[in-house]
Amino acid sequence: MLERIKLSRNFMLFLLSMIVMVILSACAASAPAGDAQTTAAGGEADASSEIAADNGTVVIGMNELPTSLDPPTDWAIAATWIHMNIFDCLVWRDRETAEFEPWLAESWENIDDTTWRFKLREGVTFHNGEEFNADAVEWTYRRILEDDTMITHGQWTFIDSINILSPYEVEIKTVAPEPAFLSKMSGTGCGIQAPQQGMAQAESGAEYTPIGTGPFQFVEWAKDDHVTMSANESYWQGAPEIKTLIWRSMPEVSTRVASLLTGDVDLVISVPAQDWDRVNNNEGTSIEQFLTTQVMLLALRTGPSEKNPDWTGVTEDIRVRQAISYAIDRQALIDLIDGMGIPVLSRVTPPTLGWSDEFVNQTGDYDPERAKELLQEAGYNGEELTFNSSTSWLNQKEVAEAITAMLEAVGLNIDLQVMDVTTFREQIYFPYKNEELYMDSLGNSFFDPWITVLSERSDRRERSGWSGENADRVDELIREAAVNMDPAARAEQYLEIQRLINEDAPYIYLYQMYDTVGLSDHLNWNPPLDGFLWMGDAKIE
Amino acid sequence: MTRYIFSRLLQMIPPLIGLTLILFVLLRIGGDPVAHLVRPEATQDEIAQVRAAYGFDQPLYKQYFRQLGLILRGDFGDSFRFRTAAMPLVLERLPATLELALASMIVALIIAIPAGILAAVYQNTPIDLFVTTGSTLGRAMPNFWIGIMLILIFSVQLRWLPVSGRLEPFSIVLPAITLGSGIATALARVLRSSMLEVMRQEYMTTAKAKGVGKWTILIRHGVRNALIPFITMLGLQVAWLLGGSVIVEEVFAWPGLGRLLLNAVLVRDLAVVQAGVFVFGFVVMAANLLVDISYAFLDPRIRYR
Repeated sequence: MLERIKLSRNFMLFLLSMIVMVILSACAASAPAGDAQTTAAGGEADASSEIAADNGTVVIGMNELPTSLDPPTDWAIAATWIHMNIFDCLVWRDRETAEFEPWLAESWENIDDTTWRFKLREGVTFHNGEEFNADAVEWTYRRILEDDTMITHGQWTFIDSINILSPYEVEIKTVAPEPAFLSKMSGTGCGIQAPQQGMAQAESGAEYTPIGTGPFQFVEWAKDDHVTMSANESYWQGAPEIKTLIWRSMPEVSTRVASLLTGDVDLVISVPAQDWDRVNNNEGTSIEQFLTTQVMLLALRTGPSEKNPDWTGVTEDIRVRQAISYAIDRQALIDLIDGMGIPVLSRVTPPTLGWSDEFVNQTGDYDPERAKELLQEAGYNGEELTFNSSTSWLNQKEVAEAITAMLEAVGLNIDLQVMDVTTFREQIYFPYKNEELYMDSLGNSFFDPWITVLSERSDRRERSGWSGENADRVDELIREAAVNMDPAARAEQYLEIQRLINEDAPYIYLYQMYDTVGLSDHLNWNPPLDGFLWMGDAKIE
Repeated sequence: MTRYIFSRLLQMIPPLIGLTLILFVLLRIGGDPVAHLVRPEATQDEIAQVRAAYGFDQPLYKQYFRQLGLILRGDFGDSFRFRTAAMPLVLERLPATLELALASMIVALIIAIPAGILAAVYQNTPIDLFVTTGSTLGRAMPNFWIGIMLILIFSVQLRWLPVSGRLEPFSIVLPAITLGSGIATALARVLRSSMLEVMRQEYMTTAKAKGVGKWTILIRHGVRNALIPFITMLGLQVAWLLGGSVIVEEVFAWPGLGRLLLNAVLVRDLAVVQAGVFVFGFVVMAANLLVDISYAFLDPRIRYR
């Protein structure tokens, strides 16, 4: 009996210690996540009450969130969207027409081929009360130019010098004539930052806090989870209607859609076609579609290059490349992606300078018989073509399989290798190990054609190995267009480049992709031309 | 006992160092972090520049030993994804994962203990069949599928519970059920079989002969003695729980360590992976140590020196 009591005591002690442990860890666990987060302007935010109070609060369901809130250090789409709500740039694109419009600069003047003068808007203040002026502009861009570890550094090296002419006048000189100047000035990292705050931060080594002049000011950031912003009540374009804006990371698409259906979030990105009916039939939610700048393409290796010097393959023969082009039925591919694309023969999409009806909304010539003839002429004898594709875009694996079937139907012997995007980038794309074919999608958030053909400048042809008369001409045109300050003549140059690429087929462009957002009816916001989520003008109903 | 615990803690060091080596090999031999740091248009020169800036141009063994040296001094290095120290990033996320793990464990115990006991007591009856079939099914169903089904039923249809996140108190219910139900199945089966074994012991018959009530015998003599294999299993499930948290956190957008790790692995953010797995490894080993210590309390014949 005595023994039993002793045992029980031990047992009780064990139970007690377990309970204490449970309570302790529960306490540790329920400590507000805000403890470990960066809090700035608004202090610690009680996220639960924000969600509960629908009044003026909008929650956006993203697939990912930025890794940095400092504009020049993260250029992912998610980062760009979040930065543009906190920071303003000097020049901005009209969200509907893509025309340049004055933003923090009231006006600008192109003095000569390499000199641009900006007249700055007066009376604008940063979220921390600092005044916006020429010092802020100079500090922001000098910071990027002086730090080559910043991921966007290379994108800004077109700037030679920044001179302050007066407190509200800045002159920027470019290294060479820069026709894409305004486009680049509104590109990734363009957000003007508060200089006093920035300098103090750099000096103290404190964690970065984003302070801009944009419609929303930063409140808190839980990495990979959510970013909270509050309305900038003294925004120079007027206070936004959204009072609290929360960006949540919801990588799983079915979770995003479910959250929209239940009203947990007001806007979700990239809703797959199978969920459209569910969202549209649900009371208070709907789907909006918009064209992105993303173009799915086939890239063909036409010859060896420095990193792949011994490469030989049948796509060296222009007739084989043309045969591949004739063998592809673009409309069938678009059907495979639930109609989420329009057929194109170029990466230059409207309203980018140099776009043309000749290449946009064109299915090209689908002619399997001609393809077979060309293969016969080329003396093709069943040699294997390696075809690499990742799975990062909508139904990309299915599209790759369909293309393989189309190519095999004209007699080509295709070895399709589908891999996840990480493997594709690490083993094929960046070590330039692509062989006959690979499929990928590329976008153009600059709305300027320079970036769409850059890979075919003679010093950048690691993946195509393109050479010959047309290739030389394209190189010449790319270099001329890059410094051509006459837009009309420049557009002609890009048109010619597109024609030559289609003729020689180092690329076969397939389709320009649509994307979707799911929206709650009480949020009145239309996706702009580029689909970017700038929420400064969103209305709440 | 103190000496035992201390020596067990010391024994944790070699496996944790081994873990850093395995991770380094898996992440670095298998892939190139630079591929995730540059734009699609990057030239060879730009790629080389980034490689040098992050020290990825050094021989692999040098990179590893440099890193190991830092780890031994408690510095796991910087996350190149977030440009900030990796360990604080990991520790920031640990509470959410522990909270989820604990809640899942509670769910698992609430399901497994009654189910295991009932299945044993009513062996070969429909109750037993229900429990054993249920546990097989439960183990076979993937976590993410259970999670999505629970969201569709309890959030979208019934609107009882929030879909995701960690912003409301009830947000934890669905992820905890998703993760907990998987462990419950394993635990229930172990408890059932060890209960069956205990129930065949002579002391049970003796107690019965003394006229002690059926449920008193079962709880006081039966469950108590059946607990050792059960607790062992419980300890092993901690690893399963942390592993499962990666998927469950992704589905429910739960801001824990699992999601941080998954994203880090995808872009080969080595410092974060090292720090995260190190913490996971430590938690698993500590849980197993606790299990071993608990044996002494459960069975007085076990002594540690």
